[in-house]
Amino acid sequence: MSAVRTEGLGRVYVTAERTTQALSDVTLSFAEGEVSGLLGPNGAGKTTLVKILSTVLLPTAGRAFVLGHDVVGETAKVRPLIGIVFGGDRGLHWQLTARETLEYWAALYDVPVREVSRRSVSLLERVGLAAWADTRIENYSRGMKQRLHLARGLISDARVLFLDEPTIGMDPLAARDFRGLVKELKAEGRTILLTTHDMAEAEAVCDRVALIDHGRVLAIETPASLAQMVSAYERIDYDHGDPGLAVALRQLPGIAAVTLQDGGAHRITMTDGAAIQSILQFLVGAGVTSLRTSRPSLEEVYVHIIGDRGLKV
Amino acid sequence: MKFWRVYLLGLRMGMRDWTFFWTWRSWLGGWMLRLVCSILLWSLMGKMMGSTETLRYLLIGNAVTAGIGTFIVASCCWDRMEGTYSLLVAAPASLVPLFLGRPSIWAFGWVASALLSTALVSFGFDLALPWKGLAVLPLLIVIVSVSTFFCTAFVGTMVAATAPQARNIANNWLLILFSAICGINVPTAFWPKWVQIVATALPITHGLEAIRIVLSGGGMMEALPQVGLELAVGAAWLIVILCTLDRMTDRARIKGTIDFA
Amino acid sequence: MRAIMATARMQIRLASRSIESVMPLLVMPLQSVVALAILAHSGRLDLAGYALCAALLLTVGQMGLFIGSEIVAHDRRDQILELLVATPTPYINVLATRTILVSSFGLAGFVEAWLIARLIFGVTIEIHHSGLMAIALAATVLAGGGTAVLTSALFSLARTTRTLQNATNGPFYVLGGVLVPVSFLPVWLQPLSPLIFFTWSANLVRSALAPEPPQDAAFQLGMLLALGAGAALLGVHVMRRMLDKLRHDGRLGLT
Repeated sequence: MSAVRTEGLGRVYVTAERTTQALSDVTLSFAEGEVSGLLGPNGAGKTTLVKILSTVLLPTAGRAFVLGHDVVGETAKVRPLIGIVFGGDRGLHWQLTARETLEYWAALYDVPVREVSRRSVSLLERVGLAAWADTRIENYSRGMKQRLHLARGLISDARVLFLDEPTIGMDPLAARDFRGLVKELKAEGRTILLTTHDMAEAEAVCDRVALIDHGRVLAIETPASLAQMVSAYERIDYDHGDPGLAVALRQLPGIAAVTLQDGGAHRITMTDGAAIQSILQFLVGAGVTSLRTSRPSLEEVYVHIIGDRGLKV
Repeated sequence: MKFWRVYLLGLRMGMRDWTFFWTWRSWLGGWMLRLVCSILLWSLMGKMMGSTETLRYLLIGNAVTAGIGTFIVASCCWDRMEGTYSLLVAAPASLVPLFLGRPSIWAFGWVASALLSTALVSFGFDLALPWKGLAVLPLLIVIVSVSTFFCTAFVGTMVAATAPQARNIANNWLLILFSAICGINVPTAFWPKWVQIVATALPITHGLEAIRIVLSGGGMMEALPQVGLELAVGAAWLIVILCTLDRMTDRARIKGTIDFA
Repeated sequence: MRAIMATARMQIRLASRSIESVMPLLVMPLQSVVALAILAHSGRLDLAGYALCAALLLTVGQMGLFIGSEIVAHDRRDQILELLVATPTPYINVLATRTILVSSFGLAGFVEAWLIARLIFGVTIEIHHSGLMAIALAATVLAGGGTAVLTSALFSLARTTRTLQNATNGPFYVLGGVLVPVSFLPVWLQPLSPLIFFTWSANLVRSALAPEPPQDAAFQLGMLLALGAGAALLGVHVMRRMLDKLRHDGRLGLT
């Protein structure tokens, strides 16, 4: 049985000013025990999808199921099964301490009484807030609140976890710890659906990634094939005064374009990742001493996936 | 010139605050209803005790001061809470006109509240107020509002600097203080000497006394000393503001209590 | 039951740590200074119980109608509502627990006003029928909490809750005769009073303070509880409709 499944899911927001199609015809299925990513820019519809799955938003079309239960018709069955972590630093009573917060939510999820304190301690330990357990949330930094959110979402020991931009506001070290945590959770057999606009994060933790934009799922790939897709379109920036070099480069195989960037550097875009070695050798031979390789940004990948042109944006 | 330019910028912000809270309709239907209820709550005590004299005293005291002193302390704290305070401090302009500008919108509201309340009450209870007194009433209410504004704005900036989370409590305490000792519900003479001295330094006390004189048929000349005292009290509070506001900011910079949002 | 206990514990913590959430406790009892001054000035301190009754009901009322009414709006603002709705515990249980508890905090106003009368005006207000007083207070808290479920649901949809709070609470107290009994209101307003739960609370509290044996206490108690229960039931209905609507519109969280 799939842990999360949607069939033709759609959601339209209607306000006085405009009508927004936040999701349209989304059909997805994620297996139990899988870590799945929803990857897309802001406003892509990721949060809308997570909200529908976590029963706080009704779809306007289609259906969605969590562990076989309809999120609209069977909310009472769905809610005990899911844990939610919304991004940002709100969603907490700032007058409470971390421990009190966890105890409160544990009661609302009917966590067995004798479990609560043990679980709170171990979760706070796990998210690195043990030393702050009895400090009021109003004194927390943004990143600490975000980590507490994570602990809060885990307190019910849910089988399915929805993490909506969980690393927003975390510093890079905390984000790295977070990735380790996701792997542990997966090892415990939980199903995790996480949204992000950070490609590296998606690659690091997800078994499969759904690319989503303008409310539509563009592709569902494993990170490996996503990485391949991206690295196939690797590019090289170099600094060199001679415009003749660019002309010469354009003759080489595997090169889509050589363009002059703002700031005087040139950017080489490749059609074939395998060409990189020969191009680098050519550049070094021509006396270029300053060069960088980089990957295209998420938006550029979209352009590639949506259109079938080269990576020149 | 620069002072007024900055003041008007503050006032424009205040107008945004005002329209955030009220529309004309909700102000008339909601706010005025609440004020009238509050006037009735106290004034009907006169009726309960069977004294038309007390009823009249309470009606006039509560109506001509209706709304005066409301919203101001909270308004002084909003810049702190919105995180704009640090930006204002870092701006080259003096903070005085700006900090007075934003909350001063409420003082305009006070004048309107008090005038409208007085009209409603005097019709509703057939108070037969003398025309001569009514003619100068708007001016006197403006004076009371201005002096109250300087006093409460000072309290507001103090609260903003020390305990902005207590802004609504502080505002309510001020209103109850005025209501208790400034001659709104009982003559100041009712209180012990030391309370009377405090009342003398507060706005409303003298201005209300002047209003009571003109509304009971007395001439403006008779009320003039009290009007002068009310103006003096207002001016004194303004001086207090001018002396403390920039200094308070300096202290906050030393203590490091100015936060970015 | 556990969720209710945990919610109660949480609410007590919120109240003890945020001065704003107990504002009426620090403000409303002081109104008795004004009321007592008016009475003392007219030589009618024999009516001091009226001032006590007013301070008590204003405090309980404001805790419910002012603080309690903000609960849903604040949960929405802080984006806690979404998280609460997504738990297996029905939100209405959380809300009702909080409004009733918050209203009960208002009982402190009784002690505060009693002390003000004693310490500032030297009047000792005697409770002649303490059993009736206890029942009246409990019923008032339930009615206040029940009414707050309704107002909280309604206010949460407003852009500025404070505007509504400011506008609505005044008429309740005047029509409910918390300070001056209803019979002194303008005649054309009096027919509305029986619909306000304060009317019955105030009668009961004043009866409990008066030396005479109480009249019609059972009927008044029944009316008080019936009005509170009616408002609460309506509140549950409105809340359910509203949550459905917010879920439908995608506006559970204010963003």
